[in-house]
Amino acid sequence: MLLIECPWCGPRDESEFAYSGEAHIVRPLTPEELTDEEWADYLFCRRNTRGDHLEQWCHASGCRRYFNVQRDTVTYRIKSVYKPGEPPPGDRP
Amino acid sequence: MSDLRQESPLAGFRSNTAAGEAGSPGVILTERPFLGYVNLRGDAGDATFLAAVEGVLRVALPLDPNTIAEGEDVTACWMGPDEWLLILPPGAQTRALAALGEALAAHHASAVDTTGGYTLVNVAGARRRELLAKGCTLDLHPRSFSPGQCAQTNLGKAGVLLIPRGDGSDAQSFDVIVRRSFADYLGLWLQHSAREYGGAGAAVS
Ligand SMILES: [Zn+2]
Repeated sequence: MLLIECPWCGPRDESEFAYSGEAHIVRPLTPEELTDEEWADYLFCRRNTRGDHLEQWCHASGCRRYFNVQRDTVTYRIKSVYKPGEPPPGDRP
Repeated sequence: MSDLRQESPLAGFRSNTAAGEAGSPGVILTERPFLGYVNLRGDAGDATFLAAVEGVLRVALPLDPNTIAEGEDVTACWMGPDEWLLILPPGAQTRALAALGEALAAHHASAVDTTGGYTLVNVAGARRRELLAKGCTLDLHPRSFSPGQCAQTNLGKAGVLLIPRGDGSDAQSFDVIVRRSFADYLGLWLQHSAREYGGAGAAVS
């Protein structure tokens, strides 16, 4: 069981959280101008990172806010958390 | 004239008290039905919003996560960075909503009546923490959870808002606020979990 740090509530049990996929995926402003390939890339294609992964979590049973997490997908170690709108830690690959 | 009466989500449990109990129970469960609840949302960084709300409630909204502010007849609970739950005496939500609506007319804010969506069970008794710890992952020790704080979390399989109550750091009791659709489940869970601490002494009264 992971202890996950909500940026507002502090450390809480993993059972209070919901995973919400890769972070920093921006919805295209003009979807109607995209090709099917570009739209499919936005909808479905993810980095599938081995190592540091920037991802969204929601404190579903607590304050019900979304936030971002930097997690090592090999060790599950959570290296940092940051609020929506805040820049990701370090240099982004 | 129709003969209407209010019935709390735990009305069935209340009648159980009549079964009669002896000795001092380790856990005392007491429903406080029909309280007024208002969900309030607005920009915590906007001083004019905060002032407008304080003008109505006569208490400042709590801005620290998971804390409460108590006014004369209102408890304001932090629910999120832009969200609070106001707990009021039965019926008082009507006047509060009207006053908030007027005070916040020029703000990007909302005050919604959620009365009837929740009920509250107070958990007291010497074994109150052991009871809650059976179904809650929070550290309930007074050093980390004491009066002045609140927390949304899970109790059993139900989402709840927990509020430690009393004077000083050691909460004499905990208010458990639960959605009415989960009240039946949580009432049964509490009674079942309390059995070993107080036998028949544990009943939602
Ligand atoms: Zn939280």
